[in-house]
Amino acid sequence: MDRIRTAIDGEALRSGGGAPRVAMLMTTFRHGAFVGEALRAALAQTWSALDIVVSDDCSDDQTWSIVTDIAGRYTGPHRLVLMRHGQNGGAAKNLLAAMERTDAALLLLAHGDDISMPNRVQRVAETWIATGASLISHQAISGPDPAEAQPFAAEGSRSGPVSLAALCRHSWTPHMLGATFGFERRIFDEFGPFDRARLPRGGDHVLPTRAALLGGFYYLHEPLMFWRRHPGQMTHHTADFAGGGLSHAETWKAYDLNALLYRLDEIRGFAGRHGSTPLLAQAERTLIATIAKHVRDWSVARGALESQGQTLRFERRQQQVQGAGA
Amino acid sequence: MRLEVLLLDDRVEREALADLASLAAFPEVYIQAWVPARDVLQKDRIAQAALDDPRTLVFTQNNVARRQRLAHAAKVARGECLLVLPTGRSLNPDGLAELAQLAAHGGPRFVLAPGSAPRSASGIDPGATSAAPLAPRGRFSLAELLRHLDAGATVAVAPDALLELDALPRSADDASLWGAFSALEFAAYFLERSAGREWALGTPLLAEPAHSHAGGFAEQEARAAWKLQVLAALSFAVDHGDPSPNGVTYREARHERLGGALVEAVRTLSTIRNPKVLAGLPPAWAAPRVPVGGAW
Repeated sequence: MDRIRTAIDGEALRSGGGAPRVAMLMTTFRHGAFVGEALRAALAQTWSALDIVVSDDCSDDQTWSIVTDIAGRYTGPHRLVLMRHGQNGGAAKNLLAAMERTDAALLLLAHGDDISMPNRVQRVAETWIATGASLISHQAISGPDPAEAQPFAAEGSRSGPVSLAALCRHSWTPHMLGATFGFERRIFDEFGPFDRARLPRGGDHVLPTRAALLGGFYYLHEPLMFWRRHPGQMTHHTADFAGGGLSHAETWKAYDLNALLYRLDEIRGFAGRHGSTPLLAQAERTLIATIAKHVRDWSVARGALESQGQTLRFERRQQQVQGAGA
Repeated sequence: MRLEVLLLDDRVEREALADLASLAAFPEVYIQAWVPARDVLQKDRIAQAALDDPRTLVFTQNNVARRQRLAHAAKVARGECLLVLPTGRSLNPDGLAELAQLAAHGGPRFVLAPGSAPRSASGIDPGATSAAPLAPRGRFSLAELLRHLDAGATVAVAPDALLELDALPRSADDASLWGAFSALEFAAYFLERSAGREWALGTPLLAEPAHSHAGGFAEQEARAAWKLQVLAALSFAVDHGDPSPNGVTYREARHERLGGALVEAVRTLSTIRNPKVLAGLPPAWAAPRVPVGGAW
């Protein structure tokens, strides 16, 4: 692992002085009901060397006017960059465009419907500096309403590094909540943007594996964000959340399997570029075993649905919302 | 060997009548037509259409699970070999002719035929084959089975093999797998118990649809899913099955190959489904508005 940042003076970093510049990437689309709170929370961050890039994907609601109104009255220390696309291009393109508007090495996702705690950037940046991890995720509280939010990951979870081997035993865990990610830019420098034809959704499944292959993946068990649940969020496009348990299981497992396959390809690609090691070979075997397990789970759900005479459909739902996400 | 064709899965009336009409060109086959109980008119019309054809038996699905339909079909079968006909497909006369010769080879219980023969709008092109024949004809291996599933290989089985399978005790997991497609069981059965009684045809049993060689999304997705389900069953058999009668322990011998096949089957399914997801179309399962036939 790359530990070069441990040589940086810790005291100076805690005060933000001389600290590496960090960026929050606030991608928005039809977030008019939530973006005000989200942006005010970003502007209230305690880490001083901070860029906040707000990139709106051509929202047709109040999102942009709310953003510009708040930004126009902002007089604080953070560097604020606003951009709006002329046409909707999707969450992935929106994120990449936002990344181009800052040269910060550490980038934190901050979707326009979520609320960061004031010390979120501070804690993630400090953890990054202390551990050298290429990606840091953290605990969130979630629900439709901040007042009734519940912890997202199990409360008994602990902060710590998550090894490549451990990651390969799972498709996704609550410790991999994409909305909370803070990651090094080099994750994209090394692996490139996601190939959306192969990974239309599921970047949060893949980024921790990329990180584990570089400087490491670290989970911080501190509730640093309110992750809002609402019917329009992008998560609801990945699988059938409105239907029965079997329909959800089949579609969610298929989504999982696609992301597992993408991760396998990335490990193989990494081994091809840098040379294979026993660790990488073992990771590949573990991931294939995980794929086999998920294929069986998927098959059981699919078999039950087919025996009921049900068929699979891909159809646009009444409310078409494309939120921001990795 | 004489073939019995099963119209086992939901079809709308137009599809059912068209498939029955296409089978009129093959007087040597027996037919079972299973129709949805909920559609009384359809049942009557299909029954009427079948009245003139004594080869055809008509049954009501009556929400009976697919496994039970298959088992019942096997019990009342008159042919020596059963084939589920996918909706809109027809038979290939050359494949039927080759199947008829198999009695001379001891009546195999598990028959694998290569992918469909191309068919022009005016009919089946005699002797033409879009997929490479299984080579050599005759006995086939697991590797060949997996390879030919990709090319839309067709599986047909003897009724007694199906009944024997139906009588096997099952865990909850395999009961669910059975509910998917019978081919899962046949493939696992082939691995564990049927060695020596399998046979590969050199000629397709099915003709391609007249107007679509590639098939629509539903057909492509179902075919890719079916292969993955077969592999799931094999994976289950590998992990939990006893050593085969001939002493091969699959767990060690097959895992590596199976892992590669699983990965590629996931890739195929994802390649078909991903464009829909990319287009912002979320997936969901529901009762069919236009029933789609399945395939072994």
